[in-house]
Amino acid sequence: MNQNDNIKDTILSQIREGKLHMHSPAYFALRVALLALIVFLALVVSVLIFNFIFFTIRISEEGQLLGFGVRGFLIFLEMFPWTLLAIDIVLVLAAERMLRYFRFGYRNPVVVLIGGLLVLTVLSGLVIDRATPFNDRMLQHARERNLGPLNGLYEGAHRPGPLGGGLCRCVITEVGTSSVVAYDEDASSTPITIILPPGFATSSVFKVGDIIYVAGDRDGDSIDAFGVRRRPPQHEPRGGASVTRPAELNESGTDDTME
Amino acid sequence: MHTEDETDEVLAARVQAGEQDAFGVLVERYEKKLLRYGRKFLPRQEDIEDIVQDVFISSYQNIKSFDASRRFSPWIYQIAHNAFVNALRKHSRNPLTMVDFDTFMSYHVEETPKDMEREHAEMRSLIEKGLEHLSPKSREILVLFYLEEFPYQEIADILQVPMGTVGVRLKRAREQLRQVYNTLNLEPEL
Repeated sequence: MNQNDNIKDTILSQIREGKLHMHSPAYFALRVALLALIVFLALVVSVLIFNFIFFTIRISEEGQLLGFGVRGFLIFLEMFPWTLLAIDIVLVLAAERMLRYFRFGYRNPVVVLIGGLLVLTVLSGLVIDRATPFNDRMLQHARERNLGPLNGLYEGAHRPGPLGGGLCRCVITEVGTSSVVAYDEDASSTPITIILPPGFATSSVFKVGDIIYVAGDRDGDSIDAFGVRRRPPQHEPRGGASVTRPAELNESGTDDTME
Repeated sequence: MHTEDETDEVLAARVQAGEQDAFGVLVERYEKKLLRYGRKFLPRQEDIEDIVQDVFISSYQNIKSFDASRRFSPWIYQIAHNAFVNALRKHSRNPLTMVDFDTFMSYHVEETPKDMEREHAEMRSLIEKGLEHLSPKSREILVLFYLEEFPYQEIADILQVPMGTVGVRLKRAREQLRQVYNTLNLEPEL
């Protein structure tokens, strides 16, 4: 028998016997909808994760470390939430892979598609953090213990990282010539003596009640600081939770940052 | 009654409407082409026939996803491409890579003009002799362009890659073929 007839006859007999069926248009519509939903969810989760990364950097003021020289930059890298970023990138890559199912997906180079998705998710995350009260409200709910498993996540984001205790958001109680005494804004227990970097004119820069972000080496109840930055008193944003906006300049118009 | 003049697209639309015999005509038209296509990838005739049968089964099951306003040929070749690539990955030690690095960047598309018929004819004879010495990726692109005579855009749809990638792969495949001929001292039949 001709091999051609074999394949054709096999297929047609399966069709006639009802063993082979056409998928309905609804099947394809459902498949496309499901794929689109998965891509959408992946991107939404990715946006929320990027948003949380930006929130973490803002609320813990770890971004201040970038102004504290190479050492501050390295500490910033060490404290960056790399695991969250890795999860985010995996989600974006998964979304890109699924988008290749569609014609507009595979017609574009991979770099363009991934780059576009990253720009979209990063910018969206940034806008949500900086232009909406979403995270501030979530932090408020976390303080009221209303977020369940997310309580710890949001509250933990608020505190500066350990660095052996050398990072501090402190409120000044005394101003000395080359040091200040302060208490940790987040812990408010034992006073901490902050030894300022050389050349720092404390009396013209700081006053009692100022809130400063400090990075240095902790030794008992003192911190030998390599970076200090003053910020204005907290203000009430949308949503009621307090947020911090670091000051670039002090009242006299000079930069407070010292390395 | 289906005439020989009916296009593949018309037949596909009839199949979508429930005319089973119309699918038989499509099978007749594409069986030899797909078997020939498969021979460029797999050595065993039995494996090729099994895969071609699976391709037709898959195309019947998914026929309602075919847009009859587009060409049928690239659609069924896309199904065949995916089937043969999967088979290659199972059978070959050096399969088509999981990650196509040549899809990462954007490339300028320089489509080979259709009026270069002489070069087209020369390439067909070169390909027939040198194909087995080429990588699967090179084989595939040369077969689709020179033997099956698909334009760049349809090859892009079959392989699901950007059009620029088609141009790059074709250029590399031609160079690889020339190297094979130089290395093996093969004489093209012109």
